[in-house]
Amino acid sequence: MTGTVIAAAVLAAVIGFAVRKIIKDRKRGSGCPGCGCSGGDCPGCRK
Amino acid sequence: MRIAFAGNPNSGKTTMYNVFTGQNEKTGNWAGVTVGKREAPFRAEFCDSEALTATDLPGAYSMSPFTPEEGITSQHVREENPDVIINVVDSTNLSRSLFFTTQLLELGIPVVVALNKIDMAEKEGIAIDYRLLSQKLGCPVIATVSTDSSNRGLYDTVKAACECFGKGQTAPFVQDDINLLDKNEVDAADRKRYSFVNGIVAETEKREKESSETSRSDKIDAVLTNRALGLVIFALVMWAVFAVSQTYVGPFIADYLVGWIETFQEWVAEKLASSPAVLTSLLADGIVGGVGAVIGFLPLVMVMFFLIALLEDCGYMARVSVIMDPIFKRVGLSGKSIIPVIIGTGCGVPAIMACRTIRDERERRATAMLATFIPCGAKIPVIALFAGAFFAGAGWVSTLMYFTGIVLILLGGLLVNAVTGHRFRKSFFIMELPEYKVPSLKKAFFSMLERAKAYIVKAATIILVCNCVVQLMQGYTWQFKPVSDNMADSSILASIASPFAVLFIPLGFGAWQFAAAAITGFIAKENVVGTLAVVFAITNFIDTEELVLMGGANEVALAMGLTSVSALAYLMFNLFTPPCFAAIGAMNSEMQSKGWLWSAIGLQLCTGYTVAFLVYQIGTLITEGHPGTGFAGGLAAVIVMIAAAVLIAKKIRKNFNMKYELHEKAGEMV
Repeated sequence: MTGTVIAAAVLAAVIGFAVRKIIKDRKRGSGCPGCGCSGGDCPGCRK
Repeated sequence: MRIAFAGNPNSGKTTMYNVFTGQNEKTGNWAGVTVGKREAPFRAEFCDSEALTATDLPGAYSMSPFTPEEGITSQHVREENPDVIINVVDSTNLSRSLFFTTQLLELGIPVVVALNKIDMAEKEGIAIDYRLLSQKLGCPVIATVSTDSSNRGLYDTVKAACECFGKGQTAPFVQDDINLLDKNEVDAADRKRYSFVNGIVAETEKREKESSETSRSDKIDAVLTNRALGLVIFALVMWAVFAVSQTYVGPFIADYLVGWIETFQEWVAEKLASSPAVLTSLLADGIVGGVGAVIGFLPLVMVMFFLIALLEDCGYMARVSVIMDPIFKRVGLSGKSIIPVIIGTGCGVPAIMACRTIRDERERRATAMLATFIPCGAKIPVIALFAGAFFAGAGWVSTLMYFTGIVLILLGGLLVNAVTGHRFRKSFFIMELPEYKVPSLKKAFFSMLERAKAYIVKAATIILVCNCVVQLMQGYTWQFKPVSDNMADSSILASIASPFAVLFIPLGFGAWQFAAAAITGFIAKENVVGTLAVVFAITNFIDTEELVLMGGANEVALAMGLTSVSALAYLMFNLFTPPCFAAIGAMNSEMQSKGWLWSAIGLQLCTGYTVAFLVYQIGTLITEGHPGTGFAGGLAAVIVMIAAAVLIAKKIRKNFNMKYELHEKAGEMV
């Protein structure tokens, strides 16, 4: 039971982190998943 | 205070910008790397009392923009009024650089000239009288070396910029009022400016060696850019890069990583043995297994990009443009089209952006459409997986994929040329070749780490989420009931992918699992590997005992149930169909035309399908003596695609001709 709770918490945390990072990167326009530039005004993300 | 960095391409602006700001923007030993402006604050050690912001602009030879990225520079300095301009000048080529300098000085904004690469000038026996040059130009001139660890001249440059703030600028040369639409007047004005610049250079520069003398770089170029040998040497170099990264060094390092991932996955599965099945499958198989399968290829990616960074930094990659120019010109593309293609080996998004360096609009759009045929970094795990699982010699498979990409680019260029014509202007190819130098291991190492970080972030975000979704869709039916082992075809994923799988029967991979993997590949190409790992429940693509990628008839090949021929067809299908959504988005914003965008997507879909069809059918005919399954259906599909393409091409050509005739009648130059 404890293991299940921990596993569920880890799963939720991992997926939550991933989704949050994707949304944050898209909004900020940096960390382009395509070219992988680290911050700055990535031309790949500019609209 | 806002300071803009402007200057000719490849003068060292971005390197200097990176030093001042602590950023790590992409630099390359060739022109055309920076295609958009970037801003960041100066590091504290360079600011005395006030905050300074640096703007890095794309290289420009003139304020009269010929290419879009020159337009960005021209627009920025005219409209955004930076407080000071630091004009980064290549001191090994003063006469060309000062043309732009004199134009900047006319703007009335204070200019500081950073006479960069002064170490290279000294090595070549070029002596420049800075004081006299400063007097002639009417602005401070500071000798700098932006790659020097001691930041030679950089502190003085910032200090000079701060002292110039608010003081205005006089121009040593002022252009007469001319009609900018009159080509003759513009040419005459430019000749006057060059005459003024050459006068300054004659007084301030002394050269021990004349430009006409043969330098060390010239002697090396005589071999590397030789018409006959150049292409052969390029092929050998790229084969060596792939062999080292994907056959020898890469898999050796990857073996340890995969071993750890495998051990971790077993530990997770053991700990979750008594937990609900959905939790176990998501965590152990979807996340650790699926993402782990992608991460397992990280060493191959890192080694490859380390080697490519070395090739870039030593100056060889710029020569590739020279080698490919005659070939690209024959198919209606520019020699500069090779630059986006080479950038595309990393990622398609900056490759499409780099098309801005191409002056001719038709060539620019054609290159943006075709550049993604070259396999990008995201496709490396896919290549490595299939090359390792189905072909013993992984090195030649990668080389074949990259050269097939180049062949498709050339064929695509011919097609675009046939549709749109090439009648309006000649395309000239003038490019500055940087000097050869010993590549910086440190720079290549950091470039490799940058790439690794991006790969891991992508795996931990998009690929992780995709794998979880795929795992759920594979594990449950539409009624949300768990799918039992022998009823996998009733899953949500199978029902979505199966209609597409029917279309793939003539290509040799008509199973829903391959269709599902190809579809998820549009989100990120690495997903193909992750999805295959999940749907076939195989996460170990690297043999931890043999220290190589899985080769020959083995677990992976047996599980997928593909022949070598159909595996090759599937690999080519994933490589040559439309790239990921991020790259399609980049095409949309760069092409500025829905017609060109949909033509690009259509061309890529047809190409991927046709190439896979030909490989599978011809390959099966050769290996088994008869065509493959679904030959007639596949042939009909290919004929329909070609017929549709011909009809659309005829319509486009007709519209194009009408437009050309209208322009001729109106007496306009197009």
